[in-house]
Amino acid sequence: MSVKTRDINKIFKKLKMVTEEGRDTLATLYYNGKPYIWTKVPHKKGDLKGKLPYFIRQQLEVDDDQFRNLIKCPLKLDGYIQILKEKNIIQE
Amino acid sequence: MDNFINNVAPTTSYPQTLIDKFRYPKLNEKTLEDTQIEESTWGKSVVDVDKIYEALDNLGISTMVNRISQLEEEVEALTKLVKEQSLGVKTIPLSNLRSEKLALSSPINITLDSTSEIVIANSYDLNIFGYGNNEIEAIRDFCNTLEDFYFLLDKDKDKLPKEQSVIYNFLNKIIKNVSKN
Repeated sequence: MSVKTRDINKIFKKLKMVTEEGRDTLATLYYNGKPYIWTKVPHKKGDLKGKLPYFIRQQLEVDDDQFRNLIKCPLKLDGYIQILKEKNIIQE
Repeated sequence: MDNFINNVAPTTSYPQTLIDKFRYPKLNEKTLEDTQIEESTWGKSVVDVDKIYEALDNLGISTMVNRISQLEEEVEALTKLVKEQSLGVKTIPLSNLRSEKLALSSPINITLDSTSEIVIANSYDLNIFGYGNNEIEAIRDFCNTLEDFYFLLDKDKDKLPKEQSVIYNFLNKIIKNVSKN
């Protein structure tokens, strides 16, 4: 599956991640005011090269299917937070 | 004959059913059997696009077209796989952070994962990566990313969740913030 820069930017928007523009677009997911997830995506448009999608997926703490669902939209913020809770990344 | 000269279709004495049978475009859909009867009885009298497609189908042309399009997709997928295929992964110790703000007090291990398109420098301990067209660019980007990451954690150090807190404490053991001096 080819992943484009805009796919990742859409994920950032959908997950309401706080973004910051630098050399790349840096994105942080805050939940209850705490930063849990941190990743980045290049500014360059088009397909992400090589294993970049894999490393971004790794930082987002999701498996391949969940990553596809984040891109294709069925997985939304609530579902994503649930995944992070199930993985004990978010502890309440 | 006069009618042809005046561009008017001549009247005939043929029955209407026979005229309809040879009419083009067709009045209604013919079955394959009808067409075969027509052809065997009267010969092919009109250009029938459906029949041409049908004949191509019989020759297996449309199957070939489908197969070619499948093969194109497979070649595209394989090309992508080759491009993503790792040319090698190596682990190196990183000692120089190339930063005016941060310095490493002890080296950290990073992996360099190269494909024909890109090199990615990654730390599994910190879960961060940098990338570039070659190893040096990837390492430089990794150092920049590490700096960004450190200051992001530092900014929120009082409210870090457990996992990020562990990473922040680890970073503080191996990194000196030289910008404070």
